[in-house]
Amino acid sequence: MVRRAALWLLFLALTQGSLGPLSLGPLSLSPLSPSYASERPTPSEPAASHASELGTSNSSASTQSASALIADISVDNIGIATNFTGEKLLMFGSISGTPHTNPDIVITIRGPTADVIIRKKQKTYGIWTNAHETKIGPVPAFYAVLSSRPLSEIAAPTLLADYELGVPAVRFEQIDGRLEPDELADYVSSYKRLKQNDGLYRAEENRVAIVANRLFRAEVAMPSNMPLGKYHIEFHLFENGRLIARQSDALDVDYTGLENTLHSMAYQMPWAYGVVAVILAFFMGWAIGTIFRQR
Amino acid sequence: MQIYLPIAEVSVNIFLILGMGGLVGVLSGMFGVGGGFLMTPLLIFAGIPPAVAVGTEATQIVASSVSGGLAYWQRRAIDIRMGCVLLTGGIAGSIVGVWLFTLIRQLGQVDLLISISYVLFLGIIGLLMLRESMRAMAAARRGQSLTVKRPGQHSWLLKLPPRIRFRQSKLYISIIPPLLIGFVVGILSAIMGVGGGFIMVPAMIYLLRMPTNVVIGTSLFQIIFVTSSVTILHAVNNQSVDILLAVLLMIGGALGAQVGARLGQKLRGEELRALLAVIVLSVAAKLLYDLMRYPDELFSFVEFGLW
Repeated sequence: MVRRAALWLLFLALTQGSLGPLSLGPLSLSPLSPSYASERPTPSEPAASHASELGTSNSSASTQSASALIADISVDNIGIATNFTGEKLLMFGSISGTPHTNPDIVITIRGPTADVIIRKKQKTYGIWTNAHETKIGPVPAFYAVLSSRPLSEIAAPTLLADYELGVPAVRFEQIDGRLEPDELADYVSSYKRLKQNDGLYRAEENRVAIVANRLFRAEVAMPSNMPLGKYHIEFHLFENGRLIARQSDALDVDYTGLENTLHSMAYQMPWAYGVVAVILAFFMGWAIGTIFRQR
Repeated sequence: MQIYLPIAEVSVNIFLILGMGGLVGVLSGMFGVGGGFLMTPLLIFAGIPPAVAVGTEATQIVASSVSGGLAYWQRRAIDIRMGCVLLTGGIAGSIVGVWLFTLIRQLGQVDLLISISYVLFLGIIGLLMLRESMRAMAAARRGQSLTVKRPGQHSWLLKLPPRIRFRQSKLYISIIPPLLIGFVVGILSAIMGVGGGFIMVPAMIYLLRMPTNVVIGTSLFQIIFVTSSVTILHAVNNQSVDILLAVLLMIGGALGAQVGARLGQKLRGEELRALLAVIVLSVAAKLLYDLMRYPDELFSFVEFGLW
């Protein structure tokens, strides 16, 4: 609670005070952050019409100091230790510039990407076994979308699809496997459903609170099973169904402490890891045998 | 209290794991068995990925066999030479077993391999144990003692060259049968995450005709080194050994075994064996049922190459 209050104070100071947006340093003010788009393996380039829309708002932003988005997150890295049970991530910001009538905020959090083999069971000789598979990728291993209203009310489906807003809009490519498109769609939607069951794909509507058409904040509970790696957080400002501005931020998720030691050793020095496991087991066995024999 | 396991990559309740280790420890203390063949399925039922359950359970068995083996070592009740022959076969078996495991894992069928192995072995052993203890109980009711028949058909195997003398077992037999027994146990150990004592002990008594006083110690000696080999090979090939989980299981298992040993002294042998047979059969039945019923989920996925 204390940390959250402090963040709010900071946030209010930033947004209410006379601080110019440029003084925020690393936070990019440009509505469309090109660095993020080029970083991604599957860049979600907007359709030409949307781009021109953005272009206009962008130019007006530079000339009239209008329409912009300033946002930040409560932490820029999450360390997973032995007692990790998940972490609340607070995202907040302000909509600066000309007064906005009906602003909407959509925040996406994309985790590290992975290639995925999806398998489907079939009954063979009385038992259920994995019988079919396909490989897709790259897809984000974590994806969350938070919005101030239901996505369908914020923008048209094509616009949502262009920016991969919403779980169904997350794009994929078939790498391996010869599935018909509708069959493939079945596999992919099952993958997304499983990820939603694990809490790793989530769509939380009405979760971004907007105050006085200027300030916004949202909170998301990052689950304990979140994959390690770099997370991209993207803030989208919509107004009357049009995308006005975007801003991106990054979050690192890594193991810390014992978790980090064990995990990195297991993958980087597997022989040493195995030998350590055996030595530890010998020691534990000897200790247990000795302790209980003396009683 | 939740604890995050770095290799299994799941968050589990620490007391659930300690409790499971303890429960299996009680059973293994009561029955004098290793308990791996119960622990691995329990871990799978608790949501640990099957491959991690197998690799990690092998590590726990190293510890429980070392603590059990210490007593036999001090009593000189280990036939080291026989142990080394069994062990040679065992290491070879563990290499083949882990290779097979890794291959089948890449084909996406490792969960099936583990389940089917368990259904088969637990089913057969449970039925044999149940039959044997039923007979013993019936004989006890009639006031007779059941004489154990030792099959005499395998003697030609024991005479194959090369034969060596095992002084402690008072045997002069071929090394081929113990090598083969060790090999089979090594494969089972690698695929199922068990020590294999439940196969090896009867084989040593009935096939090799070793004197019973050195059988347990010698089998523990073999299990220590074969499960060590399995641990290292799984760590290298599959990254499926979770040290944190293994340590929790060791602690739970050690405490449970003390309770079990005391409980075991209060129950009669045949009743104990019948009880163990029922437990073994119910685990096999549950695994078989899970294979045959309409699955909750037809789809599964593996992610790799996170970046």
